[in-house]
Amino acid sequence: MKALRVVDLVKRYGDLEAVKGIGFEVSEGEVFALVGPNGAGKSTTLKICATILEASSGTLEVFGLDLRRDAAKARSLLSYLPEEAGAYRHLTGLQYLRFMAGIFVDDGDRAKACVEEAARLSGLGPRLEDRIKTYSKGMTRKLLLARTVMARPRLAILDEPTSGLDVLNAVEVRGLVRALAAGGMSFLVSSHNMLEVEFLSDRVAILAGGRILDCDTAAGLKRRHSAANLEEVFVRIAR
Amino acid sequence: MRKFFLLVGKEVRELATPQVIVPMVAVMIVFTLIGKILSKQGRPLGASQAILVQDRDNSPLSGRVVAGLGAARLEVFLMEAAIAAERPGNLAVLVIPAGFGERIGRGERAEVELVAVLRDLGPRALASVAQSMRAERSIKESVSLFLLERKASVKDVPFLREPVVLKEAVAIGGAFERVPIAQTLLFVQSQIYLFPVVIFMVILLSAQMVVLSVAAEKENKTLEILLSSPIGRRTLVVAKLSASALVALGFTAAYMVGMRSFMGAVSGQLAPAAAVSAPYVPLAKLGLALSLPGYALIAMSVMAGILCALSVAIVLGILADDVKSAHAATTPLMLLLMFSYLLPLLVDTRASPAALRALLWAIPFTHAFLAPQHVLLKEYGAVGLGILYQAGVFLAFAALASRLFSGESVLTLRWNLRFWKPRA
Ligand SMILES: Nc1ncnc2c1ncn2[C@@H]1O[C@H](COP(=O)(O)OP(=O)(O)O)[C@@H](O)[C@H]1O
Ligand SMILES: [Mg+2]
Repeated sequence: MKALRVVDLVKRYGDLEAVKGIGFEVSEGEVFALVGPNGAGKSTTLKICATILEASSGTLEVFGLDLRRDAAKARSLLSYLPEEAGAYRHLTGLQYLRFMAGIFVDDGDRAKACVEEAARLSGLGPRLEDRIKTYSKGMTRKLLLARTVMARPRLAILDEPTSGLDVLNAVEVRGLVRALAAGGMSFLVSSHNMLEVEFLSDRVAILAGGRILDCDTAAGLKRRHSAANLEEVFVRIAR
Repeated sequence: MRKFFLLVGKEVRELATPQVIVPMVAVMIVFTLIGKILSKQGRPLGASQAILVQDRDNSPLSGRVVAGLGAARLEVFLMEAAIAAERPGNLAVLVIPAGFGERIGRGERAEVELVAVLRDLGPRALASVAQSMRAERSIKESVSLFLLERKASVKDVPFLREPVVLKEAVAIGGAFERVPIAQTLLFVQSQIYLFPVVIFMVILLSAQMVVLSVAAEKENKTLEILLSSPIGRRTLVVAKLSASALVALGFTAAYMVGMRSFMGAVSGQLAPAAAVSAPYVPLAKLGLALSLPGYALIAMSVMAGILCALSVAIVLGILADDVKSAHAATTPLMLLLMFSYLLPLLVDTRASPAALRALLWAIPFTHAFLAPQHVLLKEYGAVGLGILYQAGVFLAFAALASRLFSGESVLTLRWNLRFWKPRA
């Protein structure tokens, strides 16, 4: 079964058609990336997959669950990291993780295990005892990423997971995503950084102006467009 | 210096955003509106004041007294029971007992009775009762003059100066007590003017708290995380309402406790002034010093008002995009609040045109603002109906908020303030 199936997705905000009929599939354990310039419709697509926006038309399935009918059920299978998200600033990192674990996990013991796991994944160490308002952007991002995957969702949806991170942090985050995918977690990620998705993802869809221009493995895209990297691929097909 | 003005110019441009200007203009509009309504409100204060006179003496002296009242710009109605029943609003009733003229003639002090019947605690209605206290001076003057004309002995100077003893009483909400009218009015005024301040603060603070919290959750996208979680959407709304209601309850309790001790101080100050003829106790008997159930009823009405404000505030918070626009988003609520707070302090709502009253009653907060007046007048039904109406408004907006949360509107709805923004 596919982790995610998107068919003919259209999204309109009033008169503006932000997504103009796109389709793709994410297999179990796969990291699938949407890349494209700002305003391409990446966040819009991810929000619809995360059940917080409604599609204007099209079909979406998360592990076979239709998002129109079974959004509530699908929410227990997926977890979403919004672009540039913050956290409750007056909580400490640990309090935040405990709070979110309580929301995603019913069983108390399992929630505890989730918090421990997330604390480890965040790599924040003793800083977890500090209030979130004292965190740098990178620290908050790592905390939120750890939160997103701590309850072992079957599908993780990450909007620009590495944007605003320095090189070391970005490398760390990419490593984490790859490791979790190797463990069977499926990922839908977005990025406007075409170079990073080469290392991050199994397959890439290039999105611009609400349409998918091409979709393949990074290697396949480079080969077919005889380009040295994805940036060149984008420049070729966007012309 | 040039750099200074450059900076000032920049600051002004940054500060004078629609978020600041819109609420300011709105407040101006409310005051203009209230000013318009005030200028249409009947006769000015200080005009001739009605007094009902029951002359049981029917002597030449009592005739002089009644005529004297007219000279003191008191509009005299000779009392028949029917008149008292028919006249709306507050009444001042003067009773000249039988044998009044005879006693004075014997050189003895005589009593007259002045009763204030309070049925409207509006600001003008109270002020007009206060005006009727002019009667006291007028009566004493009339009698003194009468005695002087009869060439009363000059040895009797104290008697000449105070030939009449005024027995004062207040009737309110079915209770009747001998208390000094002026002090009682002062006390009533302090109660009904101060409570609304508390209510206004509590409601506004709670509403702002919720608008800010929703707007902050939108701005931080913590809301998006919650919306994508397995938690029911309705649960999110109910939890936010419950939490903010709990905090608001804390506000209310704090203010009420403060208010009670404040009111205690105010009524304590009254006691010595009134001590000669009426100690403080009768105020309690009149139901003027609020009893615990009275406070409870007011607190319930205030709580209902707060809940209304909270549910409206959630919707307004949804319309606000971020914390910065939360201020402007609270404006509609603040306008309603100011209108229903200020107007009853300036205008007698009971004597207002039906349309104005309907408008006031339609604003749920009015019921909370007027609850203290109603409780003082023992109009418990009005308070109860007010609470029911507020509960209805609360449920309607809670349902609306829940509906907005259940779909994507919570993320996509917003005030379209772009219309106001200068083009970049
Ligand atoms: N809530 C919204 N209301 C109206 N238009 C929106 C909204 N969100 C996004 N858009 C528009 O939809 C288009 C796609 O936006 P988005 O999905 O955020 O792109 P990306 O994430 O690829 O940068 C943009 O033109 C953006 O302005
Ligand atoms: Mg985006």
